[in-house]
Amino acid sequence: MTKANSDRSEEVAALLPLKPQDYHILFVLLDGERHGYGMVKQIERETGGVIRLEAGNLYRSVRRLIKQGLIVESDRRPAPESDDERRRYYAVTEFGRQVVAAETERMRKLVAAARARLATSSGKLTR
Amino acid sequence: MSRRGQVRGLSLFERLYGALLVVFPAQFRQAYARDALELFRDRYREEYRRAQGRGVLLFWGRSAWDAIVSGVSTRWDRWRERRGSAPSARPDRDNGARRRNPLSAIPGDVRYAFRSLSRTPGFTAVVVLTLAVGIGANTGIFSAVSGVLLQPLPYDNSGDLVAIWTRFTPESGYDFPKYPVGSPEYFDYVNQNRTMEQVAAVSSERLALTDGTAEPEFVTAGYVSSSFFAVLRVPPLLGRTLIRADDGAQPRPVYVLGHDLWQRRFGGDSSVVGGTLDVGLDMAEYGTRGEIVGVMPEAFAFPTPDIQLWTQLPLDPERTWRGGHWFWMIGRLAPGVTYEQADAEMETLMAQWAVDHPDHHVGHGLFLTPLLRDMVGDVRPALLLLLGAVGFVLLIACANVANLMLARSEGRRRELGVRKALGAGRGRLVQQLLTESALLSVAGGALGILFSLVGVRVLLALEGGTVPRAQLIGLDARVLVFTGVVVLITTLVFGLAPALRAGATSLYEVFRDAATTVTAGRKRLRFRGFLLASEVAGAILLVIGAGLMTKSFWRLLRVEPGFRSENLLAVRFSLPSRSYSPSEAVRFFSDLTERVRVLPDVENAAIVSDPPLLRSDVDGRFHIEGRESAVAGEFCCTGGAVTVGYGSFHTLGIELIRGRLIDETDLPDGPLVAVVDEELARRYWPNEDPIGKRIRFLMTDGPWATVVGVVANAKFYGLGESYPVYYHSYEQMVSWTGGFGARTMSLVVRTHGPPLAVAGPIRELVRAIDPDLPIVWMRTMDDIASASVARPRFLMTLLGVFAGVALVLAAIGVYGVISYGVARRTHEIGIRMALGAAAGSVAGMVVREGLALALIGVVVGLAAAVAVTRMMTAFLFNVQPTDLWTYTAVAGIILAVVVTASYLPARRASRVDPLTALRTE
Repeated sequence: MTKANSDRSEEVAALLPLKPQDYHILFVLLDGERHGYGMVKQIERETGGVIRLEAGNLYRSVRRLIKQGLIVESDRRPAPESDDERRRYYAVTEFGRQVVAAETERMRKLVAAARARLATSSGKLTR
Repeated sequence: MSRRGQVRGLSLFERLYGALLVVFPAQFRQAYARDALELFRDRYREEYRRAQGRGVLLFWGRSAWDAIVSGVSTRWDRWRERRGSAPSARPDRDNGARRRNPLSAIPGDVRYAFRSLSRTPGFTAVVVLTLAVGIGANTGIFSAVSGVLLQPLPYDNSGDLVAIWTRFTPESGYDFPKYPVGSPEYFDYVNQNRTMEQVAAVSSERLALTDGTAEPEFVTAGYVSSSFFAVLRVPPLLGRTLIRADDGAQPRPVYVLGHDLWQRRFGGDSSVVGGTLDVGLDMAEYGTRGEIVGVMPEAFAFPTPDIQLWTQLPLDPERTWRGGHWFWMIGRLAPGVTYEQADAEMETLMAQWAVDHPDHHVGHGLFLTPLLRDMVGDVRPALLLLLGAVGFVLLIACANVANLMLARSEGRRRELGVRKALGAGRGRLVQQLLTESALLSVAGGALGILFSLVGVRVLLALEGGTVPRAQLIGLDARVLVFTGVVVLITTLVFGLAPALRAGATSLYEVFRDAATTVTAGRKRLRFRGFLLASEVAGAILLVIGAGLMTKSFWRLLRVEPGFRSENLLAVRFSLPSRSYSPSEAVRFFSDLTERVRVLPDVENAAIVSDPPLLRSDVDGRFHIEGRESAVAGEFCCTGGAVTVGYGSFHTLGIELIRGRLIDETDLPDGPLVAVVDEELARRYWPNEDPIGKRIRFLMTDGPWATVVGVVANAKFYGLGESYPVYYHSYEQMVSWTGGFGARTMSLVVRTHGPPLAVAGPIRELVRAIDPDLPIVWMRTMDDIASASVARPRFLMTLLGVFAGVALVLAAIGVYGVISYGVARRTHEIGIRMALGAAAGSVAGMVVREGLALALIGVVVGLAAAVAVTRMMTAFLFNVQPTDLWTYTAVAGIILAVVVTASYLPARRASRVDPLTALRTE
């Protein structure tokens, strides 16, 4: 188990850093399964409209994430009344979850380091 | 579905977007195209609700760009994945055959294509020939463009060289876009400009040469300022070129020999440098003997290829009279100065000159042109016009070949379907069919190059030798690259559509089609209909171009020349000043005229400064007594001056309108007389009788000449020009000017029979009078007239040939498409006829379909012609580029061709035997 975990962590590390849009797709899917339009709208809301994916770009990412094993096409459907059977839904895999976590951790460290540096350098800059 | 209906434009944008998805790999499309379209639809509705029209357009643009970028990136992703450089959690689903490098299959494809094409030699020959005509025409015209327009001049940094002329728009309203320069203008520009490294004055003149080891001959000499050689940066082969000390108003003449002259007359003897040369110069202030100071290297000849030696242009810095223009200038841009800067400076200078010299520089200023462009002159627009025309010929040829290829691939659908079913990928089939197309266009290109080699020679012969730099036309690397690119584009244009279509074939389709013959060919037929319409449109454009040129040429030929050109011979003389004083020259010409007049077969003979149609010099300013001029003491008016001996009007056949002609009663020292033409009378004495009015010319303080007659307008400046002309007496001019212009005159001879019959006797007469005198040239007036319209005739002929080719190709195209349609529908037609349709109505139906397709092409072609033929304006004489008559006639011709081409298959359709047709199932 530990061995398998360490193997996985190497794989996880190989994928970092994630592209921003990949990160957002995974991030949105942590919330539950979604179809393409759902993902796009959610990402747009969460980023305040800064990241707006068009179809080509979105599905290019989806294709890549599937190949990398981070997401899968989902068989399950949400509640039948809100379902649209033409659409395919996607869900994040366990491996995807680990990658999001690792990327988040990487960014947390980065943010912390950046804050610290900004704090020490701010005096010099204003002078 | 109902939701979609509420949003305007969705289906169109969706279809466009769906089409764009081909940028993605096929696999991706299979997996995601539906979802991507769904997402596109949702986002479209959202944008539509939010922003309507503009927002939707922006959204579509963004989506389209996104699709293209993402599609290309996805292909890139896939490629990297296959190379194994990108992490991939799942094995690639592609099968092994697809993953192989597609290039490795090319040799096999080529062999296969060879075999398959040689099985259908008729088809192959037609395609290769069609392409050869298209590619050959393009290669030929482009080789002319390359040699004449693109090849740089053979001088150091030749891109920095400029030509300087003046543009002259005299008050008479005529525009002379390229007019010579005078010496005050030269010195002012040399002193005032800050953008030129060097400026030189250039002119040329024919000289009689007697020194050396050959017969007396006329050679063309460059008259140049000493800076000339420095501007071009060409060093001498021997000795030196001109230096500053050689310049001046009355220079001690020195000569720089051209390589050819040095070899020919002096046997390449280097000791001639330092020796003297004797030339006949028709300039009194100018010595005739001078020192040979140098020899130029081989192939150096400027400004024209026939220049044999160079000497100084006498330029007087003290001269301030700004009339009199007889040379032009070349300059070299100073280091770091761009052409635009020099041009801007010139404009500033000219604005200043117009203020400083309103008498001379309002409507008359210097301007710059890149030297190469200047030397190429009006050939440039003509060549570009032809290049455009052959481009259309090639497009039509491509459309035709595409049609043939489609027909061929229809015939091979079974083969292709089976191969696909057996595992050949779509890409493999497309590649293989493209290989066939490439092979065909390479063969067409090779044959086309041969065509072009022959064609260009024919073309130049047809043109009559007025194309500058024609010797540079040939097959160089640039032309071959051009042809290569044309072949490549051709392959794609005619090969891609059939190949993609064939690649999409599936076995299922093949058999389905076989079962439902009636409608299956519809979609393919629509594409072929599109090809047909574009062929018709292209053909219309070319035929209209040719039609306009023809009408313009016809109008030009119908211009009343004002003289009788048949049975008229012109002989040019330039008497050397060494052996002829002005009075001796007068005696020579009167003696010669007398003797020629009594030759058998000669009706009349006289001398004139220039025969009609050959004048280009327009510096014939004159003054009318009592008339105000812009500046006191300057000439008020502009017209061409023609010097005539007694009997010229009769000999040339110029009709007297009123008053009398210049005759023997006008003695050399008697009262000066002049005759004006109707154009000049109309312009300057619109409501008065010009007879009795007095004019003066040549010198602003010269004597007055009385107008004694008005004659009909004779075209001295070319058939298309109507510049006003005044005539004055040769004998009187030589007398009052003290010899000006006495030695250079033309003898015109009116004969009873063919004019060349008296050529021999005239030569003998000249030899009898002066054995050392060469004749400059001798031509019949018919020849001169024909040469004067050589350029428009050339353009007309060439456009006519291209239009003819286009018409034939379009007719073949129409015939092919309609025949195909009929063949596909034999079954249907059979049923119709079995049910009682008359043969005539079946034929009518087929012709109507052909016409419907052609009409689209006609409309598009006419619209395009309105837009494109505007560029022809400069080539047209008295014809508007949108000439209704031409457009109507051409549309009629095209429709007639289409009807004829569809009638043949229609007749076949009407003869379909219902029984046979139904049995073919």
